[in-house]
Amino acid sequence: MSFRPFAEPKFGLAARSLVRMLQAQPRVEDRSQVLLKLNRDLGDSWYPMYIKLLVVVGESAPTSAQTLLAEALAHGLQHGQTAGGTLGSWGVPVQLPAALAVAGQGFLRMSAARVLDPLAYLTVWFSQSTSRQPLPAEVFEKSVAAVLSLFDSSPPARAIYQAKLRADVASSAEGAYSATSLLRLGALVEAWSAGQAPHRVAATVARSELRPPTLNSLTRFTGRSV
Amino acid sequence: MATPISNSLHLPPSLGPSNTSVVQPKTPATHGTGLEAAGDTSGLNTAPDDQAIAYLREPADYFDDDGSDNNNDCQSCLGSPGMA
Repeated sequence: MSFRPFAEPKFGLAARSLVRMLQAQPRVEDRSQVLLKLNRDLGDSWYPMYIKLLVVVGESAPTSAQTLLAEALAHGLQHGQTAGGTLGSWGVPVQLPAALAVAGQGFLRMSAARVLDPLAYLTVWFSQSTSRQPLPAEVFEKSVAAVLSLFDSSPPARAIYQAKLRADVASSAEGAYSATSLLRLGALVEAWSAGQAPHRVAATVARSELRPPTLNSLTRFTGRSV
Repeated sequence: MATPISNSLHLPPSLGPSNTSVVQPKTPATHGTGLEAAGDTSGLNTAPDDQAIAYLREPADYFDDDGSDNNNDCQSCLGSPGMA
């Protein structure tokens, strides 16, 4: 089975339905499971639709709904159950032909893609060559700002996400991301942690001219030698 | 040998494989008007990247909290399961 989107998906209605589904779950771990199931149902190909739901909530939902969603997302991030997406790299498609996928038993997928949380997914999609068409800067900027706004509704969730991104940057200096992706992700979490407004963080990261990271810059950011 | 997905479907040109299609973002005028083709699954079972970008770019989707009852799963507002 694979998800097939409507010609005109109703994201606003879907976002409300998602929030109601979350509200129906008394425990945060169950709300996190709702997100994981949604992610599985949409599938890797349509992970951007999952991000769009976060964007809609981040841009236009009541704060209480934003907090509910952000904390469910943060729970997943904190417990290694991120509702994430993968982006194939080096020209390898994420959706391998069936026979190859069976033969590879995950090895090829593992080598070509890693599961990315929403902000990392947007950053990698925007910053480096992947199996998808390049993400335009204005779409990156708009989407990142909305996701940041979503997490700004809950200081605890924001702190968890920022810590997760810092850990990713610190642990991925040896090649999981391209140099540009790594630098951009680091700049994002640094600006976000400094308390900049979401739209400003997104604009800065999207428009800045990035130079390949140096050991000094990474060491400064991660706080340890790389 | 498995048949490549792209060879098993007859796709409208605008929804073809990502490397041959043109980005055609939806226009806000068709959104929220009740004219959406609910149930129209003329999309693909692989994601054309330009369409994914169009979804993210689309500016006219707002959290729909008008108070009306809605018991749908959120997926059912977005699309439907399809056979791979």
